[in-house]
Amino acid sequence: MIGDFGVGKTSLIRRFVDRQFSDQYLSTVGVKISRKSLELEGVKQRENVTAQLLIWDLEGHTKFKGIAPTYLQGASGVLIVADVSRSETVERISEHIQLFSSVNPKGSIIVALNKVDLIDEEKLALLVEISHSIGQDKVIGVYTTSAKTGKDVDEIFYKLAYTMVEQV
Amino acid sequence: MNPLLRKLLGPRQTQYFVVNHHFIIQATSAEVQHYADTPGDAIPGADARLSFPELIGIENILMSIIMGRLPGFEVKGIARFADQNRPLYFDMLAIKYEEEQEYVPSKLLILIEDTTEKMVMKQSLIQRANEANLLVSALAASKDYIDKVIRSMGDALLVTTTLGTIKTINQSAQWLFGYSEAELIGNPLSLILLEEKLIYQARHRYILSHKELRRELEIVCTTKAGEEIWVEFSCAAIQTELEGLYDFIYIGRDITERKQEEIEIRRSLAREQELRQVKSRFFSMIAHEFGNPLNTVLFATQILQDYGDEITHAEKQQYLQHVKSASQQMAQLLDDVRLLSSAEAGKLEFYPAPVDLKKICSELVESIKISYGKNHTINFIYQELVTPATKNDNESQETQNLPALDAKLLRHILTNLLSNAIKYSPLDSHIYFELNCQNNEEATFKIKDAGIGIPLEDQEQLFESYYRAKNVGKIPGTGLGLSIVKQCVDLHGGQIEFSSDIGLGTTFIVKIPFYQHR
Repeated sequence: MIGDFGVGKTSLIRRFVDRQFSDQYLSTVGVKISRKSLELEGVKQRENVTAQLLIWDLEGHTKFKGIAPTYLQGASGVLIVADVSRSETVERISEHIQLFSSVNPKGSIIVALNKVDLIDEEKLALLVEISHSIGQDKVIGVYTTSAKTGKDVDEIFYKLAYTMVEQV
Repeated sequence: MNPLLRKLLGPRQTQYFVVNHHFIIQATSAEVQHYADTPGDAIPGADARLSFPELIGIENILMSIIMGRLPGFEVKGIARFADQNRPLYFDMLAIKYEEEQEYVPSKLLILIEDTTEKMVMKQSLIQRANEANLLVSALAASKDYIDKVIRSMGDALLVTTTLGTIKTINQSAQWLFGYSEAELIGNPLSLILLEEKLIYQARHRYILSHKELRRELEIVCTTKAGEEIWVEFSCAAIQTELEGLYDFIYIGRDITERKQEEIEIRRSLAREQELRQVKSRFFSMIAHEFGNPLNTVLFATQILQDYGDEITHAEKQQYLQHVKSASQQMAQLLDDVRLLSSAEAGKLEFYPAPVDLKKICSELVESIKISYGKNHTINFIYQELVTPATKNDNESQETQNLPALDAKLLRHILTNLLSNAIKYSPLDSHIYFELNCQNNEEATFKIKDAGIGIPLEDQEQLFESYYRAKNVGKIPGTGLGLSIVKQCVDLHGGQIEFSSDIGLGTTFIVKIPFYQHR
C-alpha cells in the first residue's frame, strides 16, 4: 500500500482484514505486515486457489520523506491510495506509479480513490477521469473506495490478488 | 555462531538468526522469538519466512547475498503489534555469513536491532506533523473555496476594521467603485462614501450598545471617476479574535438606476399634484369670478324683461350699462385665461419693436387712472440715464435710437402690476411708478404701493396660475394677473422681484433688457 500520508491506507487494510473502521487518525511509521487468506475462485482455467495475501502497510509519503524503495522490491503488486477530498494526493498518484514501476517493473498496480463518502458524485466522476488518464496502461483499474462504508474495499484486494496469482 | 561475532553483538542487544539457502533457521540468539510474527515458529529447523514474513518475496535478493552478489539488504522500521499498547519496532539486516570451516556452504545472517524507542518517538512526531499538515490542507482548501465564492459574488464586498479601514474586498467592489485592490486596501471606507455619517452611526451604535446593525442602508457613494452612485449596503459585524473588536462586512449593490426612477416618479407625482391644485384653483376662480357678473346680467335682464314697461328710460339705461360692464368683465377674464394658456403652451409670441417707453407708460398711467384709479394717486417718475442722441435727428433716426421691446407684452405687465397696486391699496393712498432706462441696455420698472402686502407663506407661489394670497379677503381677482406678468417678463428675458410687508405695502421691480438688433 503506498500513497500520501493520511489517505487511509491503514484504514483500508483494517476494514479488509479486521472488518473495522475508526475515524481517529493514527499515522503509520515504518512498515507493518498484515496477512489475509483469500479463496480465489476460477483462477487459471477454473482452478480454486487459497492465497495468503501479505499486505505491507507503508509509512505515507510526506513532503519531508518519500517512500523507501527497499519496501517495494519484494512486492507482486501495489495499491496506490489517494484521498479524494485532498486533490494534491490524487495529483501525486503518477509519482507513486513511477516510483513503483522503477523498482518493480512487473508488479501490478491498482489505484484506490479513497474517502468517496466525503465528496459529491460530480467531483468524484472528474477525479476518476483524471486518475484514469494519469494511470494509463500501467494501472489495472481505478476504484473508488471508502474504508468507512466499505465500498469497493474487498474488490481492490481481491482484484489485485487475482492478478498477482494469475501472473505466477 | 562465531564466538567473536556473538561477543560483538551481545552488548548492543542485537538479536540474530542464521538461515541456509532454503531459508531454514540454523541458529538463533536467545530472544529472536520476541520479534517473530508467530513466535513459536522462530526455532532452528523451521522456515524463517513463517515467523518473519518480511522475507517473503525477496528470496531472490537474499540468494544474491548468499552468493556474494549483493552486500546486504535492510528493511527498516518493521512493526509488530502483539499488544496494541506496546508496539515493537525493529530494523532487519541480512548479510552473508560464512563458517570458519572450509567447504561449508555460505549462509545468511539476519540481524535484528530493536528500534522501538526511536520509532515510538518518531511516530509521535510524525503524527503531530501530519495532523498539522492535514489541518493546514483543510484550511487552505476551505479558504480557497471561500475566496472563490467571494471573488465570484456579483455584489461588491468590503470588510473593514472597527475604525473603518478597508481590509478585504472582492472583484465586484473593484468594478463598482473603479479602484484597484491596492487603492482600496488600507484606506478608510470614506474614500468611497459620500455620506459616511449613516455608516458611522450604525457602526458606533453597534459597538457601544450592541444594537442590531441596520441590515440595509442606502448610501450615496462616489467612484474613482467621481461619479455618484447609489449603493444599497447590507451590513454585518463579526467579532475578531479580540473581545470587543469587530470587523464590519458590507455587501453593496448598485441601485442608482432604481433611485433615479424613484426620483422621477416622485417628481411626476409632485407635478401631477401641482396640476390638480391649479385645476382646482381654476374652477374655484371660474365659479367666483364668472358668478358675480353672470348674476348681474341675469338680474338686469330679468328686470328689463319683467318691468321694461314700468321703469324709466334712465333706469333702463342703467341696467343695460350693468349688463355691458359685467359682460366686459367676463370678456376680459376670458382674454386673460386665453393669454395665459397660450403663454404656458409656448404659443405667446414676442415681437420686439422700437418703443417710446416714456410715452407708453404715461398713456398707461392715464388710462389706469380713468378705469381704476379715481380714488388713488399714481406718481409716475421717469429717469433717463442714457446719453441722449443728438436732438436734430429726423424721425427715422429717432425711431432707431428707441429701445426695442414688445409693447403689447409690456402693457400686460404694467397694467396688471398697476391695477393690482390700486386694487390692494386703501382709498386715497399713493402709488409710485418709476421708470429707469440705463445705458440703452435695460429698463427698470418699479411699482410701489401702500397696500395690504403679501404674506411670507404665499410669496413662493405668487406667480403660479390662479394662486391668490390668503389675505385678499373679498377683493375680487382671478389669480391670473401675476402669472401673465411673469410669462411676459420671461419672454423678454427679464427679471421680476418683489418685497412686501404685511399692512405696509408691496414693491415690484421688473427689469426688461432691450432687444438687441442683429
